[in-house]
Amino acid sequence: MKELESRLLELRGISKYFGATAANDSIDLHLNSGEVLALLGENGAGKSTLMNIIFGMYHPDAGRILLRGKEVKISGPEDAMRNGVGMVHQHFMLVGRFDAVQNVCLMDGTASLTVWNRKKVRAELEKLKEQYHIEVELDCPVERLSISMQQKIEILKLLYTGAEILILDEPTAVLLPQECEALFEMIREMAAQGKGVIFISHKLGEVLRVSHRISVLSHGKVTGEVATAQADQALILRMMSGDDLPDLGSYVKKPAGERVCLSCEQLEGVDDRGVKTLNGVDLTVHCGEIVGVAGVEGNGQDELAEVLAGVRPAFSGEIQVDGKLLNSAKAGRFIESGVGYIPSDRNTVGTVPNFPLRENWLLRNRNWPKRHGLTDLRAAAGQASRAMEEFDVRGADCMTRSANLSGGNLQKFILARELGGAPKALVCSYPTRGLDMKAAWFVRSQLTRAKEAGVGIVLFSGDLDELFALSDRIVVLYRGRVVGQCRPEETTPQDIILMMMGGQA
Amino acid sequence: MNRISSLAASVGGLAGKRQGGVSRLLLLPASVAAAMLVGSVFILAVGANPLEAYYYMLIRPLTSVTALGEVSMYFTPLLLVGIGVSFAFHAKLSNLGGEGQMLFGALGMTLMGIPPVGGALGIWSLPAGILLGVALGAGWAAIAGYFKFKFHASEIIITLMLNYVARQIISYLVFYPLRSGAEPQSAKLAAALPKLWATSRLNWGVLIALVLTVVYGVIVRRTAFGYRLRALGDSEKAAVYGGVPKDRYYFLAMVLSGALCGLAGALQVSGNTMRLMEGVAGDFGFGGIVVAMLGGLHPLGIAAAALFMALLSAGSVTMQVKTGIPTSFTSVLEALIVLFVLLGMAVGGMKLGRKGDRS
Amino acid sequence: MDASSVFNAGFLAALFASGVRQSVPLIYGSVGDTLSEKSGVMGICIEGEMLFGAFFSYLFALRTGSLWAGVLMGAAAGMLSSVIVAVWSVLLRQDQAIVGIMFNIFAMGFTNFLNRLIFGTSNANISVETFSHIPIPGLSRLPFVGDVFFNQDILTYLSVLLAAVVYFVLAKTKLGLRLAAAGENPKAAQACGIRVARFRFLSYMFCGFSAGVAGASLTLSSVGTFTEAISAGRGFICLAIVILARWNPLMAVVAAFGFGSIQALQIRLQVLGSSLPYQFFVALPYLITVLVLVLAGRNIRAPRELGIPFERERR
Repeated sequence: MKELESRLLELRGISKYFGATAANDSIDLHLNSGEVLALLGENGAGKSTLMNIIFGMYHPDAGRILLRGKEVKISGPEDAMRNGVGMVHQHFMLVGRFDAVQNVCLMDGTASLTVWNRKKVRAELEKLKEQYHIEVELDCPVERLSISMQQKIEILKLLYTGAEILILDEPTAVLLPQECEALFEMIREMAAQGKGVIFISHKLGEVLRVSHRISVLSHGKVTGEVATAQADQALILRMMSGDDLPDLGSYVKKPAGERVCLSCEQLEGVDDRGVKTLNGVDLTVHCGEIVGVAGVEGNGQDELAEVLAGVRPAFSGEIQVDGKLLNSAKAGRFIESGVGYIPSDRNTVGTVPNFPLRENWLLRNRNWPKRHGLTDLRAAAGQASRAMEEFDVRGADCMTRSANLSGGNLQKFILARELGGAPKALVCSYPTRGLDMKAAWFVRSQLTRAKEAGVGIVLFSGDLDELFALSDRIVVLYRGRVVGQCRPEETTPQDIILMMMGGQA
Repeated sequence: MNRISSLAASVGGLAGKRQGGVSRLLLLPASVAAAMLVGSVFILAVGANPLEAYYYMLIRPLTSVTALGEVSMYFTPLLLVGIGVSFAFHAKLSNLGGEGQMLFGALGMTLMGIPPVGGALGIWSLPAGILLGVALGAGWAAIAGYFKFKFHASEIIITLMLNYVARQIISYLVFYPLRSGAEPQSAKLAAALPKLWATSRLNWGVLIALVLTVVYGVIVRRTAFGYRLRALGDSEKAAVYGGVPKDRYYFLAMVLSGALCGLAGALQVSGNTMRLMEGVAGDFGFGGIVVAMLGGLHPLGIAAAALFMALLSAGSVTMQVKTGIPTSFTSVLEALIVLFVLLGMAVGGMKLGRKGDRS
Repeated sequence: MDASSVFNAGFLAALFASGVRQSVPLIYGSVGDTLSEKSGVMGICIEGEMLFGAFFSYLFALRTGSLWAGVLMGAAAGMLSSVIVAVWSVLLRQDQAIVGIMFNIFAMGFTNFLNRLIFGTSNANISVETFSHIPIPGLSRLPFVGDVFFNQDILTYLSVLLAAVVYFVLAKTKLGLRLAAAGENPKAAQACGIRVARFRFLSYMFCGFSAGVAGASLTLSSVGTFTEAISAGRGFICLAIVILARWNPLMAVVAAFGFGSIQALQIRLQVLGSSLPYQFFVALPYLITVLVLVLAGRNIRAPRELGIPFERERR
């Protein structure tokens, strides 16, 4: 009986569909007070969707939600917050131009036509800061603060509303190790106060350290649940993948060529907000070589990939492709020079969502199929169909709009297109992110095949195992600079992680 | 709110399975029918017979070559402005400045057609005027295009504002430097667009507009340029990834759009009014947007929508005389049709025009 | 007639007093639009809502004999008509510019239609008595300023009051904070429990209300009658004023006064038959707007998600 009283949250048979794919497939889950529940799973396993359902951002297609033993219908975040549910989203939900006090002020459900009292809110925040040992700037527009600061403001927002059920969606993805430690301390503190915390992650180590119980999600289903005390790494991995992982290390690398196919020197550039994120990057890729780029998210990877592919301007530095100097941000010239690019955003960058596949096949096409001077759509369709067969793109023909393709099939299509143009160099940005195991393996095998055919590949990835397995060389990006490089067989993941944090190997 | 969106989602799912093709085809007639039904309420309010009113609007103008000539006076500019703004819409630019661009096109034709130039050029003032009109229309749109890509200023507001500026420039010109006679209007053009039929106002303008509509369709669907415009409109990032220099294309889309509106203005003067005057562009600037929307940016659709709208406008005068329904009823009907089309698209999960997909 | 004799103090006082009157509809329109733009929706539709307000205020003032009944019905007409725009652009998430333009065409046709229907073609002579001027005790005696600002009708005074209230609401209340959040980052606002769609819908309606009063002021403040297309592009000037005033309702009052004065000058020049082409002054507000858009620092203060439809379950 006691356990039932302390049960804060219970989910029964929750399902949610996006189009035809089930993001959540009849999920059962519960959370007790004073407990840290870790929700483990790969990208795309359905963790965020599930949490957004609890928080009222999405509506489930089936299933029930019970809060403190009572069934509730959560029609929006305002309902969730009224019921004591709070969430820190993976992408922070802060109004950039507002400062911390204003952002917190948005949270309380009081009548709209009341004058808000800045002093009072601020004083309460100061109190919370002290209670939970949170150091954060309150009076500066949050968009000018660092990511970890912004996260602290998000947590303050939750504490301010007095939420009892706290959902943290991949909170460590953007943090440095010492910052993670502080976060864990906060989480323990909150659990000690009787709150229930759901902690989402796909990193095993931290889950084992901070949680009391672990639930594993895979392909929208709960595939296992275990008390952390009884958990071991192998067991959880099996739960996550459904069967034993294929051994990433079994791939035997063919030595790289001598000829330089893509290189850059002293690249400097800014991100979309105008913040300088590339501070002089040097990089050389040889033919038939895979250069892995490691780094904590937000250290300039996205910008580097875009600059190397000619999509983003660099304000200084130079890029050479096959010995030819190219002006930055002339994507057309890069395409002609044989630079392939697999962007991290497949849906709105890699393809035009509302174009049928035969037209998407023409995006970045070096020899535009023509008849009588006009686009030959039939030829394009033929090329696309052949490539789709070769690359095992399923559930679509060349008239299907790319928006209707699943992630794995869309990525295969993009891969087919980029490799079909016989590139000299290929820039790959997180090519297996969010893909299921099989699709990820297919992508990886295609990359190694291209490498063996002499393509020079720059591989950006957040998955160290992948980097170690595929790369001939790993370089580490930290604060917009290459801070170290090494051969995977001569180093350990720990050394790389240390460099990613800005330490010296 | 929730019920509507879930309804929209479920209907959208159905439409999606059929690739949207069939439902899109049905959308226009369905919207027209719905709007005419609602319009009947207005007609009944006047105490007239809806069937009779619609007969005078839609059928009567088709029954004689002379009446068709009247229809063509609306059809030609509507069609040209319609394909003009469609170019911009494909790149998700809203060119609301068709009126201003038309006025400048009309000015171009006038400058070539009136003395002293017009007399010297004779019949050659027509091609010369068309060229200058196209250039001026394009140039006027280029201002908005330039501001758009140079300063990221909203083309919606700029094109709207420039309409008023253009109106005043034309007003000034016909009041002062170009004035001829007591009325504020220019002298008569030296040459008129040749007629296709002696007893009707049908002229070469219709043919030019129809040919350009075919050209428009080919450019949009079957050339790299059109492909790139559409890619830019659907996902700017994907287009940039595909090697499209986006600023140049935004600018080009705007200029092309203005060029066609300019042509509409030039043909309006040389084929209809024969003089430059205030209001020579009529309501065709916004009317062209209606046409583009109704036609779903498809060449055939645009032509059909332009014909439909032209019938409404040409027939409304007879309708007013015969039934007492004010001509302004046509704008009510037009707006209702577009609103129904938008409703249908929303329920079917389709989108047209600018979409803010930044995520 | 030479310039010095025209631009004497009496002329200027009359000019600016007329400028104030000209600015009243602009103030109502731009204050309404400021609020709706803050929440992320653009008031392209103001032009049409003004027409609705102008027609119905005239109609009811004429039929009931009460100016206030007219104003009220004008405001109600503006507000009700804005529901059309709100349904299409907020609930159905269609493009705001296109919906707005279509709505304007509809409003133009609809009001003309009703006008013909009810008054036939000869309503030019039926006019209602307009609001009388209320000199403010003391202040109206001030030289020059008194005539210009403190001897106006009630709608003028109320317009400034409305601007002040909206300023207060936007700057100081939770409502203002929430509206701004909905326009800046609707997704985040939603995560904070703010019903973005509802806020946007209601702010459209407020904008319609305000534009309706603007329309009422067109017919009931000076002309006393409704003529077709009486709004004459003022709705679009309001959009410009909002940008020029950087989304601050009090600044909008100042900007509206500027534009109103230019309009008053233009009318006088036309009447005087001055050698200056009056067209230049008609075009001036629009030219200024374009310049402001281009030069005023790329709209740094514009709400970030202005004009972008918000979809609840967008991934």
